[in-house]
Amino acid sequence: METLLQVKDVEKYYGNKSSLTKALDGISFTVEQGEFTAIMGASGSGKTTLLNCISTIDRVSAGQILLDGKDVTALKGDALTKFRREELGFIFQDFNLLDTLTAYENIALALSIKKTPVSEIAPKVREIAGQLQIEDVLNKYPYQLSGGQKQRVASARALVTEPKLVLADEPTGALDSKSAKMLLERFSDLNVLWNATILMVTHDSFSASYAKRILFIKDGRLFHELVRGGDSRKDFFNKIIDVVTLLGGDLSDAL
Amino acid sequence: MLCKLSLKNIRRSIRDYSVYFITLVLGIAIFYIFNAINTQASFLVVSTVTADILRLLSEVITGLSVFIAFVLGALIVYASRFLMKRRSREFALYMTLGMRKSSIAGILGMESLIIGLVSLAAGLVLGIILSQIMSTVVAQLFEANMTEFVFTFSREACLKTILYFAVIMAVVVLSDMILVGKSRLIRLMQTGSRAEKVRMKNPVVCVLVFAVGTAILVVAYRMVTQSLSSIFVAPQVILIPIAMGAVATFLIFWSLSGLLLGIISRFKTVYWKGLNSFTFRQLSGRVNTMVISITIICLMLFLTISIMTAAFSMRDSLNKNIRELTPVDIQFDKTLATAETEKLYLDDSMFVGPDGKGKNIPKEQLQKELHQDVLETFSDKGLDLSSFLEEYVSVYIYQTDAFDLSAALGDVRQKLVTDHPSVQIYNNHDIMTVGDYNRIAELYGREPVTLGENEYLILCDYEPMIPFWKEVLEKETVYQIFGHELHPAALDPVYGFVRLSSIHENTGLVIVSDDVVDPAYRAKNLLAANYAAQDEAVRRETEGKIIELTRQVNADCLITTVIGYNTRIDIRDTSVSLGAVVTFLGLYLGFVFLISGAAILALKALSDSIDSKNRYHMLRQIGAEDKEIDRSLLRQQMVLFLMPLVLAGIHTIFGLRFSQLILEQMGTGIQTVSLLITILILLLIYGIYFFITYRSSRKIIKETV
Repeated sequence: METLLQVKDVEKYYGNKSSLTKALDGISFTVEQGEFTAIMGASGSGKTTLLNCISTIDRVSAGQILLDGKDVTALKGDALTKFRREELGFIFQDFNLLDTLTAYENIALALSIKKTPVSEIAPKVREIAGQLQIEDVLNKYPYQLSGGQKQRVASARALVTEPKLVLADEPTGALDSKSAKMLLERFSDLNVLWNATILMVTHDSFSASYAKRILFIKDGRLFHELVRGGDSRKDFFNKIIDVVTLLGGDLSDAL
Repeated sequence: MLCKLSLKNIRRSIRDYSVYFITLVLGIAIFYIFNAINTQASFLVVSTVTADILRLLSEVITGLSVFIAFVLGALIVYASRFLMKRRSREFALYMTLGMRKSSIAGILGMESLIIGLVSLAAGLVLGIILSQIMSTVVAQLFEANMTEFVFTFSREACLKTILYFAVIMAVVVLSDMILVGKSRLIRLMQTGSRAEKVRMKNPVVCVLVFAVGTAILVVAYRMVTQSLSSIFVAPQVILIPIAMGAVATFLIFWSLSGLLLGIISRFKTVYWKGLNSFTFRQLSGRVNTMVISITIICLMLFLTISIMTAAFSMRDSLNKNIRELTPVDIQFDKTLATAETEKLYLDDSMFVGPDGKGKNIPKEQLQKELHQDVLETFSDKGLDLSSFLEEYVSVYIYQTDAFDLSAALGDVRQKLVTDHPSVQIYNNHDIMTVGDYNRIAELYGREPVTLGENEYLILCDYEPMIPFWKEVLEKETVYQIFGHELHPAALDPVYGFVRLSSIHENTGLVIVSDDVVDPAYRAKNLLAANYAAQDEAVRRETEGKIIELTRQVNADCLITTVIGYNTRIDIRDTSVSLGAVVTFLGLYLGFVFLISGAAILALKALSDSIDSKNRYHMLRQIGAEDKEIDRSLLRQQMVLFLMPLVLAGIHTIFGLRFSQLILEQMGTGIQTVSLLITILILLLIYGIYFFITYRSSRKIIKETV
């Protein structure tokens, strides 16, 4: 397997000289092509900052982030937008669907922004919709959809462009447990079937247990790493709970 | 503390206020400029006629200003409500911090006061500057000589503007306070975060509604352009097509959003290109929620174009007509008795004395008066009129009961009665000899006419009558006049007139050979003359003397209105001033309607941008370039601004045809130049609003949610 994402000694500071906050404190890890990785940590541990830095929404203070060997921290202006559009797919906690467009149009918009030829749009949307089991709601508007359906539409929008890396920020945060389970099962399937590389930020151990590998972050540093290997999801979940207990603080409260 | 907070608020949200501010400033400036016209005109050297009309103008403007104040007041209240909505989160914050509603109202009041004072100052300054330009326009419109530039400042207009806007601002503050008083914290917090429900319209219904709207519009257009005649019977009939037009406009806009989206989404290559799908959806949503405003704006634009164009055109054509229609200084008109009418005049019962019984009148003197021409009447009273005149021509108009309009029209009579039911067709028709006409035409500097034996010609310059005369001539209608059988000498009526007038109003005069008429049927004596004076001031003086003499003669005569007159100076002053008045009122109303329409549209578009802020944020998150997002915004707002303009333009094309017909009745017509000027002014102001809206919207959607 080849390395897709390389995070090297990334640091991120907020504030000024008088009061400096280190959100990320020299963090390094790699993500392989086709991996389903989760990042866990308590509120304020820096997991969202890390995701924002990888997605180029935020700039790093020091260090490098390489995607497919290309340093994304050096990108500027249009190249940055182009990079985000061509190489990344985003899934947000609050779905971020455009309420004026139907589910189909929301998904297709991601393709038309990428200037995909019109003839290719419909088959691609149909295919991903089939994978995420949302074919029957494609002509509905977001306000007509349940939370789980909305998140699957949002996921379809992120995946339809076949990005190198899918970044999911608390994708199950606004979902009930049944919808969350369904969504995560779809993620696992897509990860296997499409060989999609997924990086998911969560503070929910149940959600994290669907990943193949989990990075734990505390106070801006890498604290621990868990790899599922041949474990059943239940065993893996118990291992996660152990680490979370060890981590203590907010994360255990959240459970 | 409150004051400081208010000031900071204003500074922070200055660009939100830009449309509000511009509208206030323009409103104040226009209010001042038009109310100051009276002061400016007082610097001009004008005749008494013009002075009278200026008094009328100032009265009308005073009355109109009350109406305008209502319109502007409503607009400003609306704009301020928009700003309130924009800042609801801020007020919610104040409330959660425990600030009392009265304090919030205080902040609002303070802000309105500051904004009001600043815009009042700016508006007045702009108004005073522009009114200096306006004063040259005033001078030009009244065709008065402005020898030197005078800086004018109207204290009266200034005070009036301040008073009216103080009242308007008080209403604004009151309405804001009521709004704050009624507001609930939860509602304030939620503003902008409510998801919009997309109501898709049934495409079949859209097509049907669109068809119905278009059909109504076509019928309304036909009504104003074709079946016009009824409008002259009952002017209120015009309200029917206008109401139909308004309803049709609403239906068209209502269906348009669904219809366009339905059509365009079928063109997949267009729809799925870049942000187009988003742009179209966004637009259709906008049009859906703004149908009523867009309809109102469209009608306001239509009113603006029509009013301004009609006003400019009336003035232009009035002034153009004047030069042509007043070729000499004065034209007297004296009624004579014919063989048929004499006995009516001599009937004792015509004259009622102070005791209610018949006056014992000297019959011989009356008879003599009834047969004297203008000059003879003057000299009979011992006055020498000709000493004032450089050159003059005296001609006669003949009438007989045997030849009325219905006889002159022949077979065409019925058609005229159907089209213009108000025309009196049993009035005796005017006849003139070719010799008389050619002499007066020479004095007027017009082409002489030639006539063969037993032929006649029609002289007419009243546009609506020309086609009827043409038909009369083409049908070779034979006239029986004073025992002669006459045939038309030409296929077209001669374009001309014999009396001075401000408009082309000669409905028809028959010209016959000199030997046809019977002198016993002289019904009118016309005396056209130029004063023996060159200088304008001397001419005005001469005219004053002549009018005084005529008054004396009339007073001495037994029938006191026996001599009438039209003078060039009089006609010119009246119509120039009337033209100016019409122009001013048209401009005043037009500007206010334009500003109102543009401001409402701008505010709607801005509030839409605020509501859609997070959509643009999402677009950026999924990788749309800023450039493309800006282009999408520009397209949306361009369509939003163009849609009412285009429909208003189509309305105007037909509306103007109607105005053209009305103006033709008044003896004038639409001037292309005035139309162009109107369109230019309109595009300028509308464009300013569009530009500000686009700029502000672009900033709004760049804000983080």
